Amino acid sequence: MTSYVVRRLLYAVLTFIGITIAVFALVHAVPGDPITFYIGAHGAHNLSQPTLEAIRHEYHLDEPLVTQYLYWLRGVLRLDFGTSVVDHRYVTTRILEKLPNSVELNLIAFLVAAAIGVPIGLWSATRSGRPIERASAVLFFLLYSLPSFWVALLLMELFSVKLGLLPTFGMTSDEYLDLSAGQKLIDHARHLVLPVITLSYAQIAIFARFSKSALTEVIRQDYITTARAKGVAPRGVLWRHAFRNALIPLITLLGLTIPTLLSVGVITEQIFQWDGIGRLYFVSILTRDYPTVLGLTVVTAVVTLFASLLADILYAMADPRVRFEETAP
Amino acid sequence: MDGVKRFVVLLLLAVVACTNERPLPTVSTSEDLKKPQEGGTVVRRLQGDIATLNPVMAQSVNDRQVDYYLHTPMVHFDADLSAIPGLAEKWEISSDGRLYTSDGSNVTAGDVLFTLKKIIDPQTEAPQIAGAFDQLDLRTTRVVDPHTIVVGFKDGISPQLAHFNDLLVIPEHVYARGDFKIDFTSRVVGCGPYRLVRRVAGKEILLERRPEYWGPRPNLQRVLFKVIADDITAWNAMKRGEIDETIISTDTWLAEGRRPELQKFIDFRRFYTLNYNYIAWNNRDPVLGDKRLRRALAMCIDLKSIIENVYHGTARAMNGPFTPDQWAYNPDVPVIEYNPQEALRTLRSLGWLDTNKDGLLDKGGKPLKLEMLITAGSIASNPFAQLFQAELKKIGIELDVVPLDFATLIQRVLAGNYQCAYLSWNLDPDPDPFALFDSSQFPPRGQNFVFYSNPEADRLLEEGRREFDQTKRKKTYQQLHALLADDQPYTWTLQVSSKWAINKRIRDVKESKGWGLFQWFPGELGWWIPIDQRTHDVPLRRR
Amino acid sequence: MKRDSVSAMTWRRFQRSKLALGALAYVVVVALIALIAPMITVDPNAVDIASRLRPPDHTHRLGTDDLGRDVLARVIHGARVSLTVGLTATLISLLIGSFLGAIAGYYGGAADWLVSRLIEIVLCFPFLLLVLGIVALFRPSFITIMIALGLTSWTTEARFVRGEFLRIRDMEFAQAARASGARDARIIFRHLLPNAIAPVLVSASFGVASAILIESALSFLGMGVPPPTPTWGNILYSAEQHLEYAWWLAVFPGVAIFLTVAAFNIIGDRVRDALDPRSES
Repeated sequence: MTSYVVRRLLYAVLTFIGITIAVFALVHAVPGDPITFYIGAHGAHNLSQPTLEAIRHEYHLDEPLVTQYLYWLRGVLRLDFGTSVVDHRYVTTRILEKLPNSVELNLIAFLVAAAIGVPIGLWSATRSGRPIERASAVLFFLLYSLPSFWVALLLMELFSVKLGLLPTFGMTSDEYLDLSAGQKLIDHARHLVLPVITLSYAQIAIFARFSKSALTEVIRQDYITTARAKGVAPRGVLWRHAFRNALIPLITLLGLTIPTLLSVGVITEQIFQWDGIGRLYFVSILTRDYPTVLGLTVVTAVVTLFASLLADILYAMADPRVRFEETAP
Repeated sequence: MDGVKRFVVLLLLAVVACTNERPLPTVSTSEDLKKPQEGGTVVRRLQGDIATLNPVMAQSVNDRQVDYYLHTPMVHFDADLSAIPGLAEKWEISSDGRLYTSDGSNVTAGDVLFTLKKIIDPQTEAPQIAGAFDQLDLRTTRVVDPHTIVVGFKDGISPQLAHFNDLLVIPEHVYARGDFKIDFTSRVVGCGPYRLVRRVAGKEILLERRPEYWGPRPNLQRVLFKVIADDITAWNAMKRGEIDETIISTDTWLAEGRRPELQKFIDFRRFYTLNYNYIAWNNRDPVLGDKRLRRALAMCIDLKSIIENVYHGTARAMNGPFTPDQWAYNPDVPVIEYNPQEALRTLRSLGWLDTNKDGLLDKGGKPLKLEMLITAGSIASNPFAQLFQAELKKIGIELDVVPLDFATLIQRVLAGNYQCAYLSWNLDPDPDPFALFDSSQFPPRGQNFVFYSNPEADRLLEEGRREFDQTKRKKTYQQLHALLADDQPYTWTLQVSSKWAINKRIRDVKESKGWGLFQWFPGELGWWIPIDQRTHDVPLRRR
Repeated sequence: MKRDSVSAMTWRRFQRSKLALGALAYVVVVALIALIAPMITVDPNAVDIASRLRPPDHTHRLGTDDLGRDVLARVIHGARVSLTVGLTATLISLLIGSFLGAIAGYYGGAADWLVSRLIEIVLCFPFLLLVLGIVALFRPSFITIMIALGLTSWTTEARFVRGEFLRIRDMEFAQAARASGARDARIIFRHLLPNAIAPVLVSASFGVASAILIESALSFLGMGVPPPTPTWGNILYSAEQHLEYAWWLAVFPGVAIFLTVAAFNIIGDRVRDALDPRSES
């Protein structure tokens, strides 16, 4: 297993270089650079050419692309991702400032979705084909079919504006710093409710589907039949064997969900003013803040590759029949 | 230009102290609810997080909005856009306009020099302000005494004085240490009416009144800026009283502004600020290079109907580079009337006929197709572009609307790789449009990205910025206004008024002709909140 | 394994679900309406600002939008664009996904390794940057959106096909084909792919649904299909500005997206059940 992990890590490095080259090439291929953005944001008066030159020079924009990439890679090897073209702060600082917020929101949304979706999926697997199961399946499809920005705004309209139950935006209230630890927790939790619902309602449907089909699949496997034949009680079979195996695809799902968070997160983050990396990514792309875009790409890539590796290892541990083999992520 | 003359500004600094010390809490004792009372917290909205609190490095209007609470500019503007003393108690401009002189204490003339040097140093990488002091001449700039500084310029131009409003002085003894670009993003030492309590990046900025402030005392004890990027979220927060003010869209203003339950606590305001929308025509384009054609296209814009139906009268038609609120405006210049038939006649006389009967005008076998770039997702340009498209279609011109993200659009426009684009300008308080229309200002040097070139316009532009007498300048600019309106390097369309929602608990909110609620004197300093309505005053604790 | 019998059996099983039949009928009807859209509606781009934001009445059955355009006409024409975007994007990802998945699964080894790395790269690739890049480099239109969607969503299909190929490449019929001296390309595309495509088709039906949803999300970020072309996504987005007082702008495209996405999901789900030889119902 160790050699397998080492090999996978080696591949991950290659993939990582591939990703950064691809993103680097694309971000430079898109018309406009930080300088054009500065000029565009500038008022209707003259510009200082020496200053623009200095910026071009500092960010190596005046050098060939390959050189620029090597400069960047050299920095990465020393864990230096450079400074943002927008505010000159370290890219690492900017990302670390927002990363915990994103991780928190998405993790909670993921757990909520799993906590609701998986039991429902398992339940419907055991009641497959009955009217109540059919009805719940349809309900989930409907949920999944709602565009998220629409849902987010309707939720805000209803729960914040009309009913006044929950805060409209942000992560904490104005008076947050003066609250006791318990009150802080409640205050923060209240701010979490709507963003979490927005992020998880579609995931609930996905989880329910995945776990239903996984369990259905497992129930039909030979070893369950064998266990049944051996006289293990049906409920025992379900929990001891089936459930454990049904979790496997969920691990895969976790690995697949992470990279999409950045794209999906931006809408929720913008509407609820949740200060996460999704919006930072989006804004950095728009402002052509190359160092920040690349820094965030690295974060996503590392997390994704790690999650994919972890999923494979868990997969192998949960299912003894799977040997450590190269699998597609 | 004649290199012998010296451009001088003599700036006299007021007695001012920079501080980051803690103030004493103040208690308001006044019970009279009609008169301004001290104390209270206003919650303002920022449309995006600030980039930095270092005023030299300021990037966007968000940065500026906060900076003007923390610093005092050398020169203020009043509600009518006239320059009035700020940090500089008085100033003298040498007869050739190249040297300005000033005077100060605590904040010393040395600090002013330090700030100026930082601004023009390319290594500072302060692109937004460096251009304003591009012509600074360090050889003739000198500190006379701690209260007096002579600022010299290589070139004497009249718009220079207005740029002293951008000059927010920072103390050398603080800012000379450390990394100028990075170390002052979240800490600040200034001489303005407020000081920083805390900044939580991406979330909020809390300011508190400085009791020892040298100028007129502001009323509000604290100013809390909340970052809310989304306009609809901000409006929802406004309706819940979570913030005290926000800019709102015209449609929200029109529809929600009528609701009595909102009118109870929200003051719906609208006023004109220094901005306009326009179609930039690439004057180098073989088709659009002809001003008769540009004028014909302009006749296809039904501004009256747009103002009436889309803006319900809350916008006005533009006809040149100056808004009616600017002194340079020429009231005699007509707006091009909506007249598609006349436009069609002009086009025919220029040889554009529908020879192949496909519904599109053509000439030399080529159909009349134009491509207009707009900013993707822009609420203002999208409807206009589609209306214009529909109008042109009626007379046989195909207009392709291409929405692009802002940086891509700017890149294409600066490279001259476009036919026309729907854009808008936020103007400086000084009306000088030299950078936009002078033939020396083609990109990358300036912003004449329509590549307009007319010797007569060049002459007027030069004359206007050399003249220090406003009456004479006005004459020049009025001529320029008429000339540009005739040449149509841009087709000016609308000046849409800014719409604001302000919580009625905030009293005495006044607006200026320049930036509306921001960056003018006394502006925000006069706001106050009655003692019984201090809903956002929470006990203050620091991290 | 004969294909006809499989599809006939699948269809028989599919038919048993009334819901799935209803969903299929709905999709067919919407597609037909979309096809004949120009014949049954007024011009969806005809602006009339004097009657902007009018609630539904008998001239405009579903009201008008912020430029006075007929919402009914825009929703119907929106069906054309939204369905085209959804179907074409899915087709692109099907083609890329099946091809790469087949190569990886059939040959294994280096080919498999390369495809796996490529999948990882695409998974980590910032989707919004790709859309922005394609739109900026070419021209913004619904075609560029389709391509961007197709280029990023093929990884699921590739994984499914690869998995199926690994399973069937050594089955008797494949070995028989090889023994008869057929070329690799023939074996892959004539013999193996038809037998591996079933689970992919299921994922494709979900792909159509998600493409429609993603297009609407892109509209929210100002990166969707450019005006004046109506899509359900951009009509819905334009409603966002007027949510408080122009309910008809949000409700009709919203319901259209909702029903269509749900229909594709229900069909996909049912097809999968029907394809499964072990499923009982």
